[in-house]
Amino acid sequence: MIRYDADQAAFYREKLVKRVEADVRDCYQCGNCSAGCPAAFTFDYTPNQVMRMLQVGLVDKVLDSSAIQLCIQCLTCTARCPRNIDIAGIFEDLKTVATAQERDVPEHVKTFNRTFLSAVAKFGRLPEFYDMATFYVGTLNPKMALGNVGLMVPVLARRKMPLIPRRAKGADEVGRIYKKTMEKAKQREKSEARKLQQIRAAAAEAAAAADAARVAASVAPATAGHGSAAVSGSEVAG
Amino acid sequence: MTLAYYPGCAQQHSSEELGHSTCKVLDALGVDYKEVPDWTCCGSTPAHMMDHLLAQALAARNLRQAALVGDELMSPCPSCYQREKNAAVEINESDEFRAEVNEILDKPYGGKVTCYSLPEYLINFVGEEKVASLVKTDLSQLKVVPYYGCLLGRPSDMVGEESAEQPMMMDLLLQAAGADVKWWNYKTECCGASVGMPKEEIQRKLSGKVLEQALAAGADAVVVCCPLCHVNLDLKQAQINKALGTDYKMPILYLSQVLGLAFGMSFDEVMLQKNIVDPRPLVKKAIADATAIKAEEERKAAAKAAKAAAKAAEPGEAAKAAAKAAADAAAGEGAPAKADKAAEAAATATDSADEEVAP
Repeated sequence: MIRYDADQAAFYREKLVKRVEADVRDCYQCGNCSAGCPAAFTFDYTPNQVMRMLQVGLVDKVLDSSAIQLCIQCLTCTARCPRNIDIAGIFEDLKTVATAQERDVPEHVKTFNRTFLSAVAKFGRLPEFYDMATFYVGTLNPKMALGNVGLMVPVLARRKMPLIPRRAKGADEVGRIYKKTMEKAKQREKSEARKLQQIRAAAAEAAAAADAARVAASVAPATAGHGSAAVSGSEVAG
Repeated sequence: MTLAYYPGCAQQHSSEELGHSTCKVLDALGVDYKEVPDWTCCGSTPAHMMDHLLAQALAARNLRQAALVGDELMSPCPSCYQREKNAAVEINESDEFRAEVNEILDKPYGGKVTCYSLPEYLINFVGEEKVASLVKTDLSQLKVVPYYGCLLGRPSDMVGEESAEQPMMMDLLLQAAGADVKWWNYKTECCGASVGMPKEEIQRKLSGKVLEQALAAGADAVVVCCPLCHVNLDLKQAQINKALGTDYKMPILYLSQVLGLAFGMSFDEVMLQKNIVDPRPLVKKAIADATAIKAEEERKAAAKAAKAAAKAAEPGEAAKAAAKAAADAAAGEGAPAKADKAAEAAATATDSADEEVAP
């Protein structure tokens, strides 16, 4: 059953408006993004489903989905959205959130990103062979590695990939950039989580207060109840 | 103004042929360029999928280094180009964000560099006329489809194309280089990109579609700019064949390689020997076919010229002249020689007229 989580929906919606300049409320579910998406056949939720889930506040489910991880960032959805929503931008932002929250994301995307960036942080420029080797070790999937060993034959025959990585000048700065930004992202997510918690606590408090008021109203004389109903009715009409 | 040339990591090794042929083409076109001093990785796809600030800071470091050379940066790799441009647009526009990025960098970036892809730079700063003027080798028999992939078409306003669905820059450059450019609908379909590493099935399906559509369009080769598209279509073509049960043997060329070939460079000069599906037999045949067609055309043109010459000396007139000469010969002395000459002229005129009719 889908439960509308207004607080979480609003929290992430505002975040996305600020960071991606895209408002999920603009989506009217035409499905153009899913029709054009080249990778949707492997997703657990199609892009338009993800947009709907964000509208109703199922953000946790989206953050744990394979959809945002397997998104290639080809930008086809963004280019074809009739409402001009940067859907790929939303996917990208949610992927960074999932990473910073250190969620256990499906598939080997996290391993791929991590091994790539650690290699770059270490050497400044991408040492391709080193990156591939650390990636396949990181996946703990020997079948996958063996399936790709054959690729190295023509590559090595044409001397296109040195096996031993070299450190580029400027690698130190790249290492510092990696460290500083990842720490900053983690801190940001922690403070965001706190903010969301506060909003939820406040909302729970308000709901409890409203409940109490409702109970009080139901015990109050019937005439007073009619009166307040009339007032709220006119408010709605106005 | 000197162009800051940003090669990118892949162009050092696995896509050496792209970096090498790009430099050769820039040299041939007389572009004044210099490599970005101490450049580092742009961060590529993993960086912007991990963290936005990380991605922009990695790119900004290179923009800062590029500013030491000039205000214009060009990268032959569309992925590097997109990362650098994405960062440049955001950082150049916002003082606030620039300050945030500069906090991460060792030395600050001033925010003045503009980024170009190879086709974008050539179209805007060199021009198709200049490209066409340098063509020495006839590639009219090389049937190709330009494959833009994701990064040279989208977002269209950022990459300088009028339409995200129909980018044209590679088409225009290949046409200027004299290649036979086929029209197809898969210009901007994704090849699977880096997701080919963690999730191979996506890449195999998508790249297979691209090859299938290129064949259907009547192309003998696909022309790309992106080293990752190249890996997916060229290096992994055998894997695609195995997974999909196909038998593709489609050479994948870089735009810079085709331009270099058109400018009269040898196969080695544009490093055709580094491509996995060997494009040399195809290119050799295309050039030979073009030479044969040209020779045939020249023969026809020569014949046509001869006909035109014959027309100038109409057979009727020649016959008249011969008759006149014969009459002269009958009338006076010393005429036989003249008569022979006239008869010969008449015969030649008739021969050439016959020859013209024959083919």
